[in-house]
Amino acid sequence: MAKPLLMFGCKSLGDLLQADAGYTDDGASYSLFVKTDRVAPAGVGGESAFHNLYIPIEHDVAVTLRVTAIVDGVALTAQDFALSAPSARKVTLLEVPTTVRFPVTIANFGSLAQFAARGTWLQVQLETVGAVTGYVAAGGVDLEHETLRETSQPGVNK
Amino acid sequence: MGERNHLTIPFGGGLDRESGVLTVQPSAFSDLRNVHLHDGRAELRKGLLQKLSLDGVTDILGIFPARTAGIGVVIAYASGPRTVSLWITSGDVSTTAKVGDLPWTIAAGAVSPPRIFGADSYDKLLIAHDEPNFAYRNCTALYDIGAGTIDNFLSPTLGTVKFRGVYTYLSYMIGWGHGTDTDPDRPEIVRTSLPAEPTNFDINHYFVAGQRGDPVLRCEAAGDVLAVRKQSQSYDIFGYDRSTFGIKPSDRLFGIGGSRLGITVGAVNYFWSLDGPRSSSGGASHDLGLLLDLEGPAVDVAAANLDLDNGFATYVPSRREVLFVFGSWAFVLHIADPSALRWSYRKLAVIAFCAGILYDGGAGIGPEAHAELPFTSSGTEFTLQQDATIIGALNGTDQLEWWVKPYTTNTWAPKITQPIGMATSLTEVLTGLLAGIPYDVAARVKRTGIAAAAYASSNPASWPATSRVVGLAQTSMGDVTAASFVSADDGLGHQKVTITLGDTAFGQVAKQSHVLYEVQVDRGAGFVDVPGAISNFLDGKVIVDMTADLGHTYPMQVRQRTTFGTAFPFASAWSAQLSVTI
Repeated sequence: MAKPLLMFGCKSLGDLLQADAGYTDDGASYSLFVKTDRVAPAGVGGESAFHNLYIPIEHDVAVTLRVTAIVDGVALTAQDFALSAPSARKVTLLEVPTTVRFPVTIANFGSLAQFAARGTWLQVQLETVGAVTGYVAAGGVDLEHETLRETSQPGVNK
Repeated sequence: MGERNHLTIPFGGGLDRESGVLTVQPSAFSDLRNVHLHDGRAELRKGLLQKLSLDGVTDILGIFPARTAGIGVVIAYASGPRTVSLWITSGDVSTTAKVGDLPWTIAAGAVSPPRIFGADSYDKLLIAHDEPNFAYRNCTALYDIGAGTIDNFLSPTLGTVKFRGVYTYLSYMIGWGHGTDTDPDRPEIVRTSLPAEPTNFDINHYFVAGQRGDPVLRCEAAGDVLAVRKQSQSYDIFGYDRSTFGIKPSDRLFGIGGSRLGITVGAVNYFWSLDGPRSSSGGASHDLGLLLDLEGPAVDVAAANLDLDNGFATYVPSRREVLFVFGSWAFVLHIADPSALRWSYRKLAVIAFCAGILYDGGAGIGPEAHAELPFTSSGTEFTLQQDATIIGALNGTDQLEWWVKPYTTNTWAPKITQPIGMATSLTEVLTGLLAGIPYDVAARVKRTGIAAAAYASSNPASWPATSRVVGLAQTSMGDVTAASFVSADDGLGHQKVTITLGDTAFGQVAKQSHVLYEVQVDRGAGFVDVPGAISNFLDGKVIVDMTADLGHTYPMQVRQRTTFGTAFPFASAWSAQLSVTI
């Protein structure tokens, strides 16, 4: 006996759509979208320097992921990561710097000023960009941070 | 440089838009879309794959399993003519066929596209028009799955009914929204069928749920009760048969926001009230929506104004997800771990209107067998007996449909449908035929009212030749076994002989308009025709003018002959010769 099939019927469309099948909605692509709640690594009155985000992505197809770090409500520049299709399902670790480079240059040495984003609260937004044709899963976010000022008030989110 | 630390935020948690910043768990999300949640990972959800497209259809209204046949039933709407059609699909939803239209026309003022309820039981599917306005509501329809017929549902004691919804519960069919034929618009009444008789509603078997006129929107199992949901109240029907059934209020504050916004998984009934999602296993319901903070800012424009009337709930068995769907937006309750229910959002690229779980019974929508007819027919004046050999696999519900056509015409007509069971050969006596006519006979196998593609035409001439017997099956004219000849003056100076056929069956033959009489007289030089026979088709008599033979006694005889065509001018045997004094 085959598994039960959940079928969807649509408004203004005579199509019968099988749920949990394929990676489009009747041919139209959609995106995974994840936005974490706020965390304050140094406590709600503290301050942290946010250095890197490490995000393990398990996938078996090519996929482009867009990661946006949001520090104290301000979204940093979104960064896209194009992962190529592996031969078999694998975990690729995204290393997402949350540092900001400033164009202070001397001769041919390039940018010399690089600052870590600093603040109290951090949110991470992760989304897929464009069509995805196979399995993609995010395992979470590992936040590398440095406590600059400890809060005197214990925070649950610390 | 200070010490670098690591803070891990594992994915797999659900939305939490309720908790304050100091109490929210790090693994919670403020926005979470298009995911399947697992322990420690959020997976891009799978999609909606087109399996079939129905021609001439603008909206899909409902999808229901027909468990007895192992197929699916789809109810669809055509907004132009405002008609509702019924389709069936194979168990794997790879093929479909239209069974026919429901006997409905959606009134101009009615909700469009219409909302429906469907419930299958004992090879029958009841379809209710979930129209709030009783004047616009269509009669509940009955789809006989095995026979493939669609009619208005006619209950032995209630007559035609206009249920607003139907649901199978225990061994009963539940219907709500219909009172009696003299007081039909009773939206607060819930009726039960007789046990194991889903199409037999006793007029006295009903419950009154709450205030008169406050409509019941949905009935659904919850734990060991039947939850009756109104918009702002709920009731429980408890018990398991007529002697133990009863009804009591279960929730005086919460009902269901829309008639389709509920689903029961296991013993838990999940439903969307006017204030958000709730659950119940009978009795008072529990709030499920705190984490969604529905009173807060909408997370998406699609979530801002939820159309409760057209929303619906469904369940994804493979993912253990309950979906509350509002057009292209859905709230997803992940129930894999009942102790840690989690929410996410789902933004669909289509506007969903309904959903249904189908169970692949492995059945196709057409028969796997066909019939072949050997040239073995025999008949009487009005019947033909024809054998059929069934070739191919049967499932016990297949039926054999017989068609006949007078040989010399082009008009085929279905004659009778008989169940095949698991028989490999059948004999059918086709009745009500014309006497003395050669017939073409054809037969096709149907399953759930659908024939195989090669037999789909309503013109059996296009079917495979082995399914037909052409021109060799013939009814007989029979023999005139008794006849009386009475000579009398008609009062107008003419001596007429009235011939009455004494055989009962033959008298019936005489009433068929294609039959002529032949009358002969022997004046001493052998039998010759008597011209000018007047047929009286109503009483099976024939009258001939014998004035020229007045005073003579001659042998006479009569027979009948078909005029149907020229290729096969069948005639009966002559009657016994009788001497008639004219």
